[in-house]
Amino acid sequence: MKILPADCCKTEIAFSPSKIKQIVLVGPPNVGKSALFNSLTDSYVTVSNYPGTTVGISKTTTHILGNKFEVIDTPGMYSLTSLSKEEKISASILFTTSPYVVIHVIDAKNIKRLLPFTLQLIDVGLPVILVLNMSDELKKYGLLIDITKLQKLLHIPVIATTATTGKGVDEVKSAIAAPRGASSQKYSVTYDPRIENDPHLLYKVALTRQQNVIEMVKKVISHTKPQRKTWSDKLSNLMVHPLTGIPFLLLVMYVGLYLIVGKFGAGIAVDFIENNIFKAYLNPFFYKTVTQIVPWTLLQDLLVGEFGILTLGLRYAIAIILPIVSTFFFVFAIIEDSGYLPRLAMLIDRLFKKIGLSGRSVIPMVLGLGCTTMATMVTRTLPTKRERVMATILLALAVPCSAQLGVLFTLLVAYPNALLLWCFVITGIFLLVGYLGARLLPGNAPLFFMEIPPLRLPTLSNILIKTYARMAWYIQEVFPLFILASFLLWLGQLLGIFKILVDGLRYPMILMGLPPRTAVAYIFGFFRRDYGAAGLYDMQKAGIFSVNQLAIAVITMTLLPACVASGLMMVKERGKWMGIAIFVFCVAVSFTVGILLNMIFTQFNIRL
Amino acid sequence: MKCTLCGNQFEWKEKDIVCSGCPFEPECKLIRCPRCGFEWPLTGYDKSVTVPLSHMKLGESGQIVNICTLKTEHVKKIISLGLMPGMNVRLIRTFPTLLCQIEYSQFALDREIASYVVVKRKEV
Repeated sequence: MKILPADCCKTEIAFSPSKIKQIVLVGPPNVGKSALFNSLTDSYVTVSNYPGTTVGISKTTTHILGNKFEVIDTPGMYSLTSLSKEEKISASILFTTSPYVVIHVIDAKNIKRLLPFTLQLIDVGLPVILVLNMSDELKKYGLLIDITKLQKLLHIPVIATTATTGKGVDEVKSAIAAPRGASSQKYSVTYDPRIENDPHLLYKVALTRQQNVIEMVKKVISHTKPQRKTWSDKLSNLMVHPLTGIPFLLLVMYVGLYLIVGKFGAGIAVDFIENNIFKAYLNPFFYKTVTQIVPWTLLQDLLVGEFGILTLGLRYAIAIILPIVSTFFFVFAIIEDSGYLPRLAMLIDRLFKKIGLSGRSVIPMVLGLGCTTMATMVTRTLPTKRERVMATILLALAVPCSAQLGVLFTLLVAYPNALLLWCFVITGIFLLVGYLGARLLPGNAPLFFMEIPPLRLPTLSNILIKTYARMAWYIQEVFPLFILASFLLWLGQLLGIFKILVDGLRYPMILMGLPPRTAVAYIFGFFRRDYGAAGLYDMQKAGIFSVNQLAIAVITMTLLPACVASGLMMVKERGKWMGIAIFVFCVAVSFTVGILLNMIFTQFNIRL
Repeated sequence: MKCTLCGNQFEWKEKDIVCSGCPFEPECKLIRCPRCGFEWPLTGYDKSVTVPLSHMKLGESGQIVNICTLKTEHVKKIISLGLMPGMNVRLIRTFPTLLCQIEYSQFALDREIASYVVVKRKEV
């Protein structure tokens, strides 16, 4: 019996069948597909301890025992009866390519629950190799699996591995290279979608598979000793109980965001690079060299002028933004590898339900504190369109990214009242927009379900590699934008457009009670919020703001859409009109809040 | 007849109306509340034997025996999570969300999804 959901194979990603033999890795989230991918191909894709790390597809070519293969890593999926967008992507890869081998990676201790999907894959005629990963954990749980017997029952190769240490990987390689007959089935029947969406039928089919699996598992698994409660269970309890979980969250934020990212990244590191390297050596050096070599003032301005690529673009990117973002990625890597995020999702699910999201959205939201662009991409792991839209709006509007957070924090740290007001307004807007959005957007309240992986002690090497991979991604994504922004500002200034824009923004600036010069920072802000924030930072140093003005400037800057890159990502993920609508919405909210705050300040004569 | 979830009192006949058109009906051993849509096992229904996962006691173990919902999306979710008959479950937490051990992994679940999963209590 072969039942496939009709909607599984229709996605925008078309995969052209290539001449190289393809190996596709599939399996549920968080079982080590990416770790296996890395050890098969000697490359690096991010491995984490939470479901849904692989949001895109990683593929690379490699040689396995003398033959050339293309290995494709897919986002996690539990079955071909696809649910989320990423699962549909995975399913579509299986059916649009004709894979030479499909490696189904599962968590060894959970074969009873995960084997039905293997049966489904075999059912549709795919050449499956079953990999029981994390087999080192079996002993801890008092389980023993008879691999040879399972192999005989399933009639496909079955291999036990521990991908993180590389155990069993060689056997996987030889199983891939082993000669096999042509794929048994090339023809597939398309069923009427009504059949495939009939809950009764779906359930009956799934039940039959499950019963088969239970019979099979009885034959191959033997129990030794039962599991005991470990330190991780106790700590896990501490994290999800509201009484202890909320203080724990605050502690994590205090140590992670305030101490490491704020104090160290935005404070010490920025200070050092900015003052000791750029101000002291690089900027004078650039200035001297460029003015000597380049005779034209125009070009000199482009390189080392007020908005110069070297003196402004490079300095912002390297001295101010990079140290902050890197420290954030470092902290985030520790948090995600430990398995804290799914527990945070559990803790916060109830609150998030009120704002149209589920606990699942915690992951993009926390990641958004690092980089909104990356987080917007990760929203595709959310199961419904409604949640994806809500999460995108909130990310663009009220979740400041680490680069910006760092700069803003440095600005406000001397003024606790302003900092408090900032926290209050941003949290307020986050909840208010979420609450209203949940009421206004059509669709059902989201369901929450999430696998909670065991807590694991993060390994330093994995954290460093991951931080490095994210930094590399960030530099690739961001660097050209800084250069482009510098160039456009220079061009704008040259052609006078810049002046027109500044003049145009003059009126909103006055309404918000800000000095007209602030408009420059806002124009930066449209490129990147953090760029704008860095602009504010320069102005604050020049001492042109009162505390009231600083608070208003910082709050409105936070509410602006994150950056050009995130705008493009919104368009890519949510579609053109939705992306533009969200962008306009954020700008409108930002200025409105700024104007309202100024009115309140002047009306009640408040001085922060 | 009284709904075990919302406490709604209703007539036996009303059950036929809410259940009409259901493909499960001939073999169904469930009753569905016309107000809240909650379903629970009917024949030989003994709270001490079978109970929705959402109504299990904290720390209690059992085995899943049935899935009771007609919403395709929910059925798909339940199937893909492997909340299938034959699985052993234990309720670890009830607050702030349900946390259950299903075989060897832990899942955080909505009360809504959990209410569709019928569990046979393990005799202590």
